[in-house]
Amino acid sequence: MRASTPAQAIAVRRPGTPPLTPSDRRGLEDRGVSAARIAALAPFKSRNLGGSGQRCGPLQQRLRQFARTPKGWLLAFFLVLLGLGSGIGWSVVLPHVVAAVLGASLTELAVDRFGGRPLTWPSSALLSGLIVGFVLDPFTALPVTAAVGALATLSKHLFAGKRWHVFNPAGLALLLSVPLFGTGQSWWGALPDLSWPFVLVLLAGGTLIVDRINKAPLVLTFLGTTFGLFTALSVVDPSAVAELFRAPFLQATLFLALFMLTDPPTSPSRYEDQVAIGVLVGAVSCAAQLLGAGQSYLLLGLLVGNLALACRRLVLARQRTVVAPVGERAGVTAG
Amino acid sequence: MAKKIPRRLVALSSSAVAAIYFAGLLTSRAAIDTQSAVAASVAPTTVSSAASSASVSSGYQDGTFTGTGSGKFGSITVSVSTSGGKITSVQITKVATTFPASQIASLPAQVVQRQTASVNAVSGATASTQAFKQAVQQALVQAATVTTSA
Repeated sequence: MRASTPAQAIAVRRPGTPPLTPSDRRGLEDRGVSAARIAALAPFKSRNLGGSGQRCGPLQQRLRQFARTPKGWLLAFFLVLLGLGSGIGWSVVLPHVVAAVLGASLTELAVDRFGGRPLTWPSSALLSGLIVGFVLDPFTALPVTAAVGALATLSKHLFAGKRWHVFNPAGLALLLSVPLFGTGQSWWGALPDLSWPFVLVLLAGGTLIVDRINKAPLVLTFLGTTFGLFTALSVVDPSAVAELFRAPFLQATLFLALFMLTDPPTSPSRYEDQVAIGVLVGAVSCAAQLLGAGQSYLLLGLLVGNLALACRRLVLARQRTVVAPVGERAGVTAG
Repeated sequence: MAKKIPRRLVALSSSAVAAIYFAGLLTSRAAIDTQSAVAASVAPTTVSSAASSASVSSGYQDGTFTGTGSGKFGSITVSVSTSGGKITSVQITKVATTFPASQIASLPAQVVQRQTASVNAVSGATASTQAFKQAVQQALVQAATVTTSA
């Protein structure tokens, strides 16, 4: 198989320099660093963890490497949530989750195939499918669940920039599924049916992952804004917001904050941007709830935040100029 | 690539967020407790009792009354209009549930037809049905008038 981009060719690794991951690259682009400078900072060494076009190592080595990535951690924690949330019954939960994952993953493979790209392990689609499965009511018809999973993958390709997509795939698919299929969202994967100590399980797993991907400011400002606005309103009109502090809305808010809002391709890297987007998403979610958005208020806030970040990235991309500093060697060009 | 936020700052911020949440929870708790108390008191008054020697007849005041019911997946607010002692219309005015209102769209008509909050449970929307019934009952409590004759 040929390497699909120059950046995926194995380069000489400078001693002590960590490889530049796609997330690092996005962070540098968000800071206005030029493409030439990014290419010169650290050579990119492909480990083919969900990448394309590179000859693979042994399966066990790949799995071990994947398990050490943030995606691997997230997948492991989702499996824990799947186990804990199966009180409804495995006969209900398992087909539902499998349908969502298959819908998302097969669509990703189909898009790669028809797009002329090499087929790769669809790790992102797998996670999007799991999120769709966790949020949708588990009694949703299986074809509908699979369709929503497929919609998540399609949205990632339809609304995309050069190296990023605009909207959180699962978020957009779940929002569209309400008018398209009349679906309900029980957020069962966030464990709203279990007693309050399980909120701590959700928080513990989410905290590990948020810390790993450095999104604490985003999560904290979103939660602070959301709870702050609802608390202020509870002084004036408690009945309007009373249920939002309880299950399932509490667990839904935490799940969205920890696992959907922090999705690296659709969340900011700079701390200043994280704070701004966190406040925006929280404020829009509150406004949507008060204006009668019903079940979709969190998703509306999330997608508005995604759109704001996409606009900022477009502005930065136009401002960025590729200038090769004097005396700097070309090295590996960024893909 | 970016320098990590100091853990102490993260812990402090997390504590602040938790404090804000609990403040909101406690402040709004009174509203939930009130709703639950009203809902619990509705059931005995809707069942007529013949224990008293006095004859009791009940009807509804003319007007529009609002009620809110809470369930597992959120709350529903309804507006019940009455005229001539009868329920003339029921409207769902606010749906704050994780399920769409379309699932219980047929229930308001049932209330008008049966002149009672007792409606058929909607398959797959049991919790929303319960919240709807609770909301209607709360509104009817406000609308109910009791006349007695010795």
